[in-house]
Amino acid sequence: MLLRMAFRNLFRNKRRTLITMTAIAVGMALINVTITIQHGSYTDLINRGVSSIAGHVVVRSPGFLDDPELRVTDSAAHAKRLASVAPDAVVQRRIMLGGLLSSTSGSAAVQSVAVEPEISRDIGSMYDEMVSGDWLETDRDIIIGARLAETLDVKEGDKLVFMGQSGGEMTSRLFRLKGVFKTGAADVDGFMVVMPFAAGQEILGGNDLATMVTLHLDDAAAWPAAVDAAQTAFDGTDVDVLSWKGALPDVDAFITADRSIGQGMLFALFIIVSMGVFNTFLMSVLERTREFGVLQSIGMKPNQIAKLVLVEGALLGFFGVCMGSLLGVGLSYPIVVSGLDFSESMGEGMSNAGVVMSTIVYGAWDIPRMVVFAFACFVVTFLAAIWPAWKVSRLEPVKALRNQG
Amino acid sequence: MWWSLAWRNLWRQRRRTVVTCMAMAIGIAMTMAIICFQDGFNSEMTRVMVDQRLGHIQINHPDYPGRRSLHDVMSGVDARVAALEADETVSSLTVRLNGPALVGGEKKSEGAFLVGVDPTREDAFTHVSTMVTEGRYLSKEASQEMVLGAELARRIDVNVDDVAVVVTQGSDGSMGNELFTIVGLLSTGDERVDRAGGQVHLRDMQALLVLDDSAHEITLRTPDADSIDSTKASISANAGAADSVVRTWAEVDPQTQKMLAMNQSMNFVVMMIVLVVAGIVVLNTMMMVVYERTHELGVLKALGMKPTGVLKLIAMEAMCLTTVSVALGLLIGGLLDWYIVVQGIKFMDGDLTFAGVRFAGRLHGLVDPVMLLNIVVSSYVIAMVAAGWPAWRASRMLPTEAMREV
Repeated sequence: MLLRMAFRNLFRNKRRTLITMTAIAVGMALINVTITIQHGSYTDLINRGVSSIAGHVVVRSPGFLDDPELRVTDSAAHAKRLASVAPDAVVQRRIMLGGLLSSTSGSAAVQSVAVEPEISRDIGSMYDEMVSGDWLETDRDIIIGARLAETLDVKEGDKLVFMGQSGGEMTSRLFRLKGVFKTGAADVDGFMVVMPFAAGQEILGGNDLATMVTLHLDDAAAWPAAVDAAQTAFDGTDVDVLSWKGALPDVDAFITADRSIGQGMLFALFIIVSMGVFNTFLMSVLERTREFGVLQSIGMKPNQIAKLVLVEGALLGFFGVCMGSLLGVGLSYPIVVSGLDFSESMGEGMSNAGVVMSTIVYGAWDIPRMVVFAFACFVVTFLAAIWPAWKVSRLEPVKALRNQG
Repeated sequence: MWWSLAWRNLWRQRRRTVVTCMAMAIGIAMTMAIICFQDGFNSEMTRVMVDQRLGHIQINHPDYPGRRSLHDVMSGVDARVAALEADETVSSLTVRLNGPALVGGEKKSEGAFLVGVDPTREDAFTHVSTMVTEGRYLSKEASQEMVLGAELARRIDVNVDDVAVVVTQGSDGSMGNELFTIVGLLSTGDERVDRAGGQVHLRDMQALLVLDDSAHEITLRTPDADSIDSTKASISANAGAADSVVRTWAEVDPQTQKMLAMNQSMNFVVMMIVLVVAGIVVLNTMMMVVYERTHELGVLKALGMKPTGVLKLIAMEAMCLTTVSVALGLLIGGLLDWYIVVQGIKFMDGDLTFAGVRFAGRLHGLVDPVMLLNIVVSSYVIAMVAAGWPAWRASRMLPTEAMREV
């Protein structure tokens, strides 16, 4: 009975109900779209960070943060042990090494990454960004960024000398340019070089060194279990075992910060929408003072009237949220499927917390957060009905009847 | 008379007016706070990228922009500088000779972007001496001194007063090898400098690279940001820019320019989203105003008020409503902005690196008066649009029917 009355009350003033619902729905839809874009870009950032400079599980030397030159010894043994943790996953070893790369016409400061060519190609890496030449094959091959290739004025087949220092000794090694990559981020394309793992080890000289040994899972969501298993497996050894969060603190921190800024914005929207709802509600109740007086004088109890108003609020909230969710999903769908092109505003590419981001951001559904916000929206609408409901329940029938509202 | 009528009408439903004003004021205040924070971010980005790295206008060898090669230097730099400094459209300038090099301490070394600068000019241009965290900045005269990015120094395990070995390839193809005394560590916010950069005296760098009286870039600043394009045109004719290419900072680094522009347009998006939602609330209120006063408006019309008069009355009431909201919003927003500017917002522990710029975890905001004006004007426009429909409806009511309403 109450439900039917509430329904009818809402329908009696169609325009106002529609406007209120629109306010809720627009707010809700904006929230959904924002969440979808955020979630998509975070997922992309994490995936790229994990495959390019970390892994889902990372094994490295305990002092790495203070001294990135510290490396683990016997890396092959570590790789084997890490592989035993998750048989389906891929394990790769990398060496990071700073140095000077020279051609016949100039030299440049570079950061080199030595990778195991086949493994690195398979998990997604600079291989995906290649614009000319071929991927690493022999120990003499080297891959450099497009900007660096221009600076050094080299093309495929040209000689390059890498000079670095290991344990106080200057070492130089000859390479031949095999291929060129282009990410679009100037600081990567002009600074990064990729060489075979064997060459990196040769420059360092002995001890089977690696900067990090990493595990890459097919199913990214399974990382917590893999980290736990790895920590058990490496118990008692002198290495650090970290999750991607521990290995990419910048990325994790960026996501946390960006999310909290976004949250502030959503909060503002929330407050405005809820005030709008509160206002409409209060009005719709006050103008019906006389009607509530009639209801009371024919025997409806104050708390029944309060309930009626609350049910109206709940219905309004429910349908507003439904409408908003539909609208939000509808608006987000194209972003999930075909992505948002930011190249107009970001240029060819940009690095963020050391990770190159793609210029096309694909949205991704973040169902838990969408549900939480939908629920919060509903609760807020409902709360906005409480005060008016309480007010109405305290009306005196005689006075209320006299009100010409 | 009209205004006082509208004003009095507004307060007949005090509670509703207060709630509507609050909704709009909070919208305005929140927009102000978000934009203040965003502008703080932008100004930090501008400080690092434009004020320090790019300047307003750069002069390079014609081949330098694409390939940034060691050999693409401008010769006769001293004469060029003298000619440019005589130009009154240039407010300050600095000369840079880039020498990528391997910089090492006793045990470790890293590739670094070393830059040869004239310490006096560079400091006047970027105030780099205020960003020295340990030790001091370079002496005025060339004396084999070096300031190094603090993070780079940590990585190669050197400190102030240590000697650094610099290995690089000179312009004649020979490998140069030189010792420099580290006199200071830099923390500038520019990741390329802090993590992988350093400065030495221009003369020392010229000797190291065998490039006498040469430089890769002459970077200038114009008196204000609006005169960049006109200065670019006049500079091209200056003898200091002979046989070279003159570019504005936006041409040198379109990516940074696009990023800053995007942040600016994000400000508008945020503003519009929040204000449109606030506009819906105003629409609702004004509809109620018209609805509950149908009878009364009918009487006014019957007494001879013209439809335009009704329109005017309702519009004026919306004006009053908006004025109160804007005043309240500016007050609350002003307090929020004040806090964000003075105290800053701690949005994360540690620092954040974004697009090559390091931001402190506590970011201080910036108030842009133009944006403030935008908010105020947009609030009025949106509120007037929202009030338009109810007002128009009210003006078209037939007095007889309107008076029949209770």
